[in-house]
Amino acid sequence: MPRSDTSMGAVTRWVRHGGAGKLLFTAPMLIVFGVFAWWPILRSLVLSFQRTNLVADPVWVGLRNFARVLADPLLATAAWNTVWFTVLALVIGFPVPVLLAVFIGELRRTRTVASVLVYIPIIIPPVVAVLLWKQLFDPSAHGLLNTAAGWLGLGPFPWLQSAETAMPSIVVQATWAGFGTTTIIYVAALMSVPSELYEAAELDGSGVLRRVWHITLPQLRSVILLMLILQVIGTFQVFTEPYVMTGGGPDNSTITLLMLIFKYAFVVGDFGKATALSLMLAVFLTALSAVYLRATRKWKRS
Amino acid sequence: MKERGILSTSERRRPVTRVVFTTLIAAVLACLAIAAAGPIVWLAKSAVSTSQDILRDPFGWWPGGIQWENLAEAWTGMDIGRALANTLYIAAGTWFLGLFVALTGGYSLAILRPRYAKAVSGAVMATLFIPGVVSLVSLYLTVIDVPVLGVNLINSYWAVWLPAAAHAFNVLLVKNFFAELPKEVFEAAKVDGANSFDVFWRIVLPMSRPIIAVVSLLTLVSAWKEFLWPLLVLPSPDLQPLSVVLYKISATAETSTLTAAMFIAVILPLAFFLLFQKQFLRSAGQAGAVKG
Amino acid sequence: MLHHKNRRLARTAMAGIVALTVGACSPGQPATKADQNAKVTIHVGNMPTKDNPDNLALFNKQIAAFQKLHPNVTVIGEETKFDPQTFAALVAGGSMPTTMQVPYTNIQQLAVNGQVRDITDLVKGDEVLSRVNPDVAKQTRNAEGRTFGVVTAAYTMAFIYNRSLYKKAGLDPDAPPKTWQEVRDNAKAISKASDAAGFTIATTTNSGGWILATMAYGHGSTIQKREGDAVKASVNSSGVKEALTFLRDVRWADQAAGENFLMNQDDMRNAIAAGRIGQTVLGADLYRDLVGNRDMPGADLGIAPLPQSSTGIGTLGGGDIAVASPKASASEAAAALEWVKFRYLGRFLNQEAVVEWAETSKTGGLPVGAPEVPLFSAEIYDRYLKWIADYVNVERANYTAYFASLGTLPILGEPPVAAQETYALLDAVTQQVLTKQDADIDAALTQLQTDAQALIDAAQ
Repeated sequence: MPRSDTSMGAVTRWVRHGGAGKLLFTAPMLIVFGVFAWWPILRSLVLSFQRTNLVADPVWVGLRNFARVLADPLLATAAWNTVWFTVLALVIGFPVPVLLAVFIGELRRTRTVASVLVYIPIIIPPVVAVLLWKQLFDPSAHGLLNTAAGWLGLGPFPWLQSAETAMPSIVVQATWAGFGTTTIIYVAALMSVPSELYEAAELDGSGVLRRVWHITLPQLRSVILLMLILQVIGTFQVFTEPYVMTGGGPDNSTITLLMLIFKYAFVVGDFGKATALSLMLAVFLTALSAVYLRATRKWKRS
Repeated sequence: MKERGILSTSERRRPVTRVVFTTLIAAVLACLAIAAAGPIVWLAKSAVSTSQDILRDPFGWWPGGIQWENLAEAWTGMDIGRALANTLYIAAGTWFLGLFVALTGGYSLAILRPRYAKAVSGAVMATLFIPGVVSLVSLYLTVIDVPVLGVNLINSYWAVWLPAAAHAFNVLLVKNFFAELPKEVFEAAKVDGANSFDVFWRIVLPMSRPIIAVVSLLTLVSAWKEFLWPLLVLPSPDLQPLSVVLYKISATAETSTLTAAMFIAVILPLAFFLLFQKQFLRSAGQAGAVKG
Repeated sequence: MLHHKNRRLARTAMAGIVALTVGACSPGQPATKADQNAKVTIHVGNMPTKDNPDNLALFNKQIAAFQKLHPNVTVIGEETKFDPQTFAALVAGGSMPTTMQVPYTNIQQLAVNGQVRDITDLVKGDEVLSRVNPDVAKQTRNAEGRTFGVVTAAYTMAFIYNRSLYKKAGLDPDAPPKTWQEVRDNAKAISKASDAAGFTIATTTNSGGWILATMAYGHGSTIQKREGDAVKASVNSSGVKEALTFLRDVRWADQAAGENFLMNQDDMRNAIAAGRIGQTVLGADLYRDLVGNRDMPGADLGIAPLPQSSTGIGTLGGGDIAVASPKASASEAAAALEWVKFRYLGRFLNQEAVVEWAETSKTGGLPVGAPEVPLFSAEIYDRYLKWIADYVNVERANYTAYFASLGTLPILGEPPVAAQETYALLDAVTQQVLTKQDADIDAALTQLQTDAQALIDAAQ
């Protein structure tokens, strides 16, 4: 049976060259991602071309789900709100962790204190954080933040109770809850900046700010670039904060794309429409990432 | 800790730098304290206040008297202890599985590099860019009837652990870290006859402490934050983690009791975290040593 | 609509230990005959949560008693309760209990979607169910006359006010307002005399639309109209406009609507219980929840019929309907039906059971005799009231006007098509008038009319 011999030989050769070992190490990832990431994504893809509530038999409807999404008057509102949230979240939430990480990297005796403080918001369960901030955002004059604002001669602000201030308020809460995680990653990355570089820069006579600008930040560049796009992708998927704090209000001023998807799927039970919008969002984010990675590739290397 | 950062030791001794730097430290720490710890302090105060005080006089120190009974009411009435234990159990499983998948996967993609590595890597990273909600519904359906095995994972912690282990960011972090490790070490080990398991166990893992620390922290924190998913896959109240229990209870509980429950939900992990924090810093410090 | 998680409280008690015996007396067997001895396990939703230990104990006692009566049935309680946000996943995922309760608002859409089981054959000829008040029972049927559930509690939307705030503002708590103008005047007085909101409503998670629809009834319009076989949106109507104008005036002209305009129903109930709301519109069933569950003094809670303008056409009816999972087998559904009758309906029919329940409830500090719409005929309800007379701990005299209105004020149904979606759509406009001083109500209604019609077209 020559054929079997050959295949046996191929297998043996494969094993001897570490093929089996390689596969064994890859297997956990393949299984977990296969079953719990790729398979559901494929399934969603199918769902988006069907009309189904998962109880009655699904019906193929072609692109009609996509057309129905585009016809929803709330789509433009939700898309705009999401972009607005992302912009606000980046303006506040991007520079703070970078600066904080650089600063913490320089601390000696107070480093532990600073780190602990940075981590505190992270370990608060999000439900607690949101409920807590809802309380802080009490719109009456004796609300906590309004009392504090009163000391500075400001306010009282309506916070979540007005279409103009609701989104910025949510961004404040989201940034508070999220800046620690990013800071940790930057602090960890800072560890790998070789101290000789600073040594050399100091010998060249460059000051502290110049060192930060010419050594620290460039050394962090690849991490920063990655975190930036991940942050954009993450903020585009904002859900819990507006969902719990405002339910999308007032007057739909904080309804986001994800809330719209959630609404289609779980409130209305229209899974085809929900997955159609999800796919549109996914395609947009993927395209955005591709453009971003391309645009920054040069900068990353230089 | 590294010997120096941006500032050198001699610079730190310079009087002007010292004054400026110390002032800066004080200012930043003060801001951090107000922003990060302030809400917790307020939560602590409110946990033993009357509802009236919490709502009407948020900065007053107990004008209505200290209400220790809030805490007892929250603890016994809301079964916070069990919810905390569930949360820890969920976090522990997620941590172990997540780390296992990230380390083995990262090792394969960055060091073993089988022929299919590029394709697998692409497919894994692609999930980073796909909104989680895309697969929320179908993930739920998957958990209810796992392909091939055909088991229903509802009301089982596997339903939380397994999907959480499919976390591309962890794989990416580990992969990038491994890619930076000096290749000569592995080559040398291979020449000495070590197989991929030996290399992983004896060389890669000991060098991975810093990344293990970071991934552990990220995994634990994200497990801690899970809310919607456990709400969907753990309908049995005996299994639900703190976030779900608090959310359910927040609908009906009185402000003072709820605040006390929130405080309990924060203070125990905070204590746990402060212990964990030291170890994290030490291992982060060792990162410098490994590199140096 | 929505999840009235706390009604289960009193209802559990209602059905109470006592109802145990009742199950035996309720002869609704015919439909289940074929499968009566088949061993089945049913999962029943709406189990009280741990923070209500008294109710939970009652619930478990009831399960034990039910199983004694039906040795072939194993009952497993689950806390699962209706949540419009996740119900679709619950059904799709197969984790919907064999039976649980859904609000009136949702039943028609769930039936159309096939998300609840058709139980027409099971209820046919059932002796207990045949005695249910026909006006109530019709809520469980679709246009073709198929039955999809059993009403377990009914109420009407009512005017809710705080009697102690009324006194504080120099108003007479025994003379609740009959017109919206009076409500407005009282709101001004209350917000002047205290820092409570004079009048405000819940506006999120579809409550805004639900209450706006109710207030529109009180101002003379429905939000959907039947035209032949078709249903048309009638959002841009005088009643809706007057209701919104009323909200705007209270909020901006009178500054009497408080400061929080993004409350869901739970927030609102907490706020009422804490004495921070002078007047609002909600279901009259909230007595049990507010007093039994949220520790509001019963004497403070005012419940009155929904005020009517000169053109007012009545109020919105509400309630809970026990439904069966579409995946339940015939014998499971039959066992579940028995459970539902045992737990929720038995209390009206057996004196011994009712008395024991009333005694237990009173001891446990739970209300006996709270406002509700009778599920059975007036005679049965009066008999029930006589049975519990010694145990009533609710100041029923405070609700004289409400009880009187049940016979006179028309009870209108929910909008027939896409009710929850329409309510969700209308949430935004209630929030708009409460948070934006120069809100253009006419423009908003013109747009909403189009959008509401689109929802109907998509659903039909």
